[in-house]
Amino acid sequence: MEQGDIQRASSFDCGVPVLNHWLQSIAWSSHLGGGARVHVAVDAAQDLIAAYLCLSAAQADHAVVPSRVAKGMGQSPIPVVLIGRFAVDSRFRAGGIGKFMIRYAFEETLKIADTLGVRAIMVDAKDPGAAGFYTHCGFTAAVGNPLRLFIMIKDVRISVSAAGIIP
Amino acid sequence: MPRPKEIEQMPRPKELENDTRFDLAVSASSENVIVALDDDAWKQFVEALEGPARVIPEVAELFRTKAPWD
Repeated sequence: MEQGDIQRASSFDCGVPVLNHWLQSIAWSSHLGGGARVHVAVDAAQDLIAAYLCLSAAQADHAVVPSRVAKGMGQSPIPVVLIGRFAVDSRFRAGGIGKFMIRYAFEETLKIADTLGVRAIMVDAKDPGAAGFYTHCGFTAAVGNPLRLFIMIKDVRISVSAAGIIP
Repeated sequence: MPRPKEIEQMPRPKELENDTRFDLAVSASSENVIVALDDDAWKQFVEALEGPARVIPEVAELFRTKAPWD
C-alpha cells in the first residue's frame, strides 16, 4: 500500500464493516508496528483496492500445555504464518481474485520458509462459507473446529512442483 | 492488475499525531500470536506435520491458473 492507497482504502467495501474498518483505520498502524504485514492488490485502471490480506508470524501450540509438559512428552510450538485478515472488495469478487490472493500468500510464505522455520499456514475463517473457500484452496479444517484451517508448507511446495513450477 | 504488494510504511496522518489509540493498536499487533489447538486438532496437526508431503490438487491447480497479475 502506498500513500495513495489511504484514499483508495476509503472506498474499499467487502460487505463486512469490521474488515472495511480494519483496512481503513488499523492496517497502516498494524503494518508500521511490525506485528503484521498488509498486502494489497490494486486495480490500477479503476484506482481501487481489489483485495487485501494480512500475514503475521504465529505459533501453533497444544492448548493443554501443562499436561503435555507434565508428561514430558512435549513438542515445541510450531512456527506458522497466520492469515489474520483477508477481504475482497465486492466489486471484484466475480473475478476470482480471492483464490489468487491465497496463491500470493502461498508464494510469499514459501519465500519466508526458505530462510525461517515456518511449517504451516493457518487461518481462522469468519464463517462456514469462508471456511469452504479456504478448503477449496487446499486448506484442511481442524478436527473439532471447522473454522480453524491449516495447510502444511511442505504440501504447498510439492504441489507447486506438481504444477510444473519451481517453488 | 499488478501483483499485490506489501503495504509501505506510511507516516501517521497529521490529525492522528496525538491519538494514542493507534499506539495501542501497534502494541497489540506486535504481541506473540499463539494459535491453540485442542487435543484432537493438535494430534491431527502433528500427524500432518510429521507425515510425508502430499500433493494437494487444489493448490496445484491454483498454480497452473493465471492470476490477473501474471
